[in-house]
Amino acid sequence: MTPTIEAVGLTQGYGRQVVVSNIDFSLDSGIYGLLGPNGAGKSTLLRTLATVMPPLRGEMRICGNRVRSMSDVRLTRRSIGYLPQHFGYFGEFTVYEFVRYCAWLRELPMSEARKATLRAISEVHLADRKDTKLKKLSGGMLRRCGLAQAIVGDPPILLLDEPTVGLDPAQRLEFRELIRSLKNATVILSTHLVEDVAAVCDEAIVMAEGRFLFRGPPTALAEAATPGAAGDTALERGYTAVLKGSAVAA
Amino acid sequence: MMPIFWYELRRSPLRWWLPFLLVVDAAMLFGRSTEWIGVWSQTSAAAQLPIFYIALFLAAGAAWAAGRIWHSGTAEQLLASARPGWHREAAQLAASTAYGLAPFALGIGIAAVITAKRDVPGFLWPSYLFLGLILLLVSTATGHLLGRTIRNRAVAALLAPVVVFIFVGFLPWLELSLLSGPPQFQIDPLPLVTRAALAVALALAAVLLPAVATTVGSNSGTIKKSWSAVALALAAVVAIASILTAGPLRSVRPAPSPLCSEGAPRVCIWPEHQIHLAAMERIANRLGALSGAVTVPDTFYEEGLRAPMRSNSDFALVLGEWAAARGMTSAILDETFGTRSCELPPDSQLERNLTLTIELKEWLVARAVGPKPDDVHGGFEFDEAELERVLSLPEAEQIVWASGRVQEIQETRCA
Repeated sequence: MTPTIEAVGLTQGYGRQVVVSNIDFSLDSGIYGLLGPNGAGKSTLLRTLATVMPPLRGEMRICGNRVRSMSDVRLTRRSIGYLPQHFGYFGEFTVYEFVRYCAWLRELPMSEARKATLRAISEVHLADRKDTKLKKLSGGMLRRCGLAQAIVGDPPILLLDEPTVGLDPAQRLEFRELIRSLKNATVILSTHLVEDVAAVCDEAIVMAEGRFLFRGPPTALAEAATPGAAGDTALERGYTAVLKGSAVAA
Repeated sequence: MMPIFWYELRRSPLRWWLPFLLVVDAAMLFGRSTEWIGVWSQTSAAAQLPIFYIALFLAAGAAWAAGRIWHSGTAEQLLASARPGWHREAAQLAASTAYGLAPFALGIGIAAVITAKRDVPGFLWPSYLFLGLILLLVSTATGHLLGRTIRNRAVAALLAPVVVFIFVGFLPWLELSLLSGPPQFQIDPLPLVTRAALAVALALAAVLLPAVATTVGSNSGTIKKSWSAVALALAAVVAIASILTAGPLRSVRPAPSPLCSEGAPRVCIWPEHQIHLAAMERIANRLGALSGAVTVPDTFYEEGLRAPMRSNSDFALVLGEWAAARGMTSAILDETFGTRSCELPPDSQLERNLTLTIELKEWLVARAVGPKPDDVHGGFEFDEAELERVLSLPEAEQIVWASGRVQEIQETRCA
């Protein structure tokens, strides 16, 4: 089976600074938790996969299509739902209008867009707020609206950069439920919250200095913990141990 | 695209300005002058003129609307959009333009109904309305482009009307707005098309340049950006060059068969000015009654019917009936005194001659149409008290006074 995302020698950076360094990976459908300290290259990797930045070097295949020309990029973007770290919105738009607008940006067919919009809004539990202007929503609701615009139309790939920031504990639980329900998609979830990874991810990927240090099930990450590693849970200890370079590299 | 256009329309900051824009349009239509009523070419020009004022607000509003990208933090999401960026920009520009179209359409409708009620033949002249549309698009495109270029929303919104004002007020060769629409002139298709090309080039720049600037994702993006900028700059240069080479926007229309009154003296006017015929005939009759003192021509002609435009001896209706009556008195003076074919007299004698001529002319005007209306300014100075005294004299004495003036003018014309 063709992997949903495949990268070979992927290198990315800003100017002369390399942020993602020559990584190879392939991802099938499933939920992937991308962990790593600030500056590890998580957001840059997501931006690259979202085709916001063309790679400096290397090659990407998304849903089996090689991403090279602008027409490849446009085609690819139809398959990607992207929630950037800093989610932007038009305050004057209502929740429905904004999600519908994002569906339009993703070139969802007209015939499906309305239903898909209402479904996405419903899935993030904002149905009763669909006619509320975004400028009147709380931070948590806005984040949920951000999720709705990412999942509208059920794209096969979801790139979520710190999606749980700003959510209260109850909303985080709802969010986890939502992510779990995305069975057929390839979801990459960048986060600092190790417990989110433990709760919903099929695999954890630990990044540092632009490279993958670890890739495996959360249980394997927990098992990678070494005596004396910092952390309150096994997974946190495994994570900090991997960061110290004592675990098996991916 | 329609639902998105409606969202843009509903959420545009210009929606708050719409009532104001409607008021501005109506104020400009009726506040300046109502001489356009009953003349289709003038009605068309009058319906087009408010766009000059609306354009300034539209440019500011379009700039403010387009600047939302800088403040909404959506740049990253838009970069990841599958849809070509120009669709997005076009939807927003179309919404801004629609806010100009609404008052424009309403103004056209009102103007058309009012003139149609006067039961005059003809209809709106589309070329004037098209010119209004061009200015509308120029203003929103300029505003949109500036709003998407300048990150400070307030600066863009302040700068946009200034740029549009420069286009209209300080670049007269562009001729993007016309003050009146006398039937003696017509807007030529080629110069109009060149201005439309400029508006389209600006609209394309407003839609494509920001779109290309937010198109990344492949390494060909930078090259595409540069080529797009060069292509659009080239298009703008070609549009401006074509405006300069296409000549003036308007040309003189060939004179049609005039519409003339029945009595003597006759008045002949452009058929489009039919609504003024009865009034002009009354003026001509009053002037004809003064033939005991001056020589009244058999026929008064509106300018452009028998001689080149701005001929001294033909009257113009463009500024209304009072101004037209003054033109008719000029025709009487020409007829009475003929063309000067002698040496000019010394300065003091020439000055006296001029004073007498002005007094005679003002008497003729007063007899034809009464005193100068309050909204008419300028003209030569003259002894108004003396004129009032003369006008209060019995008819026969006035004729004697005028005859004396005619004689004295003839005596002081030559050295």
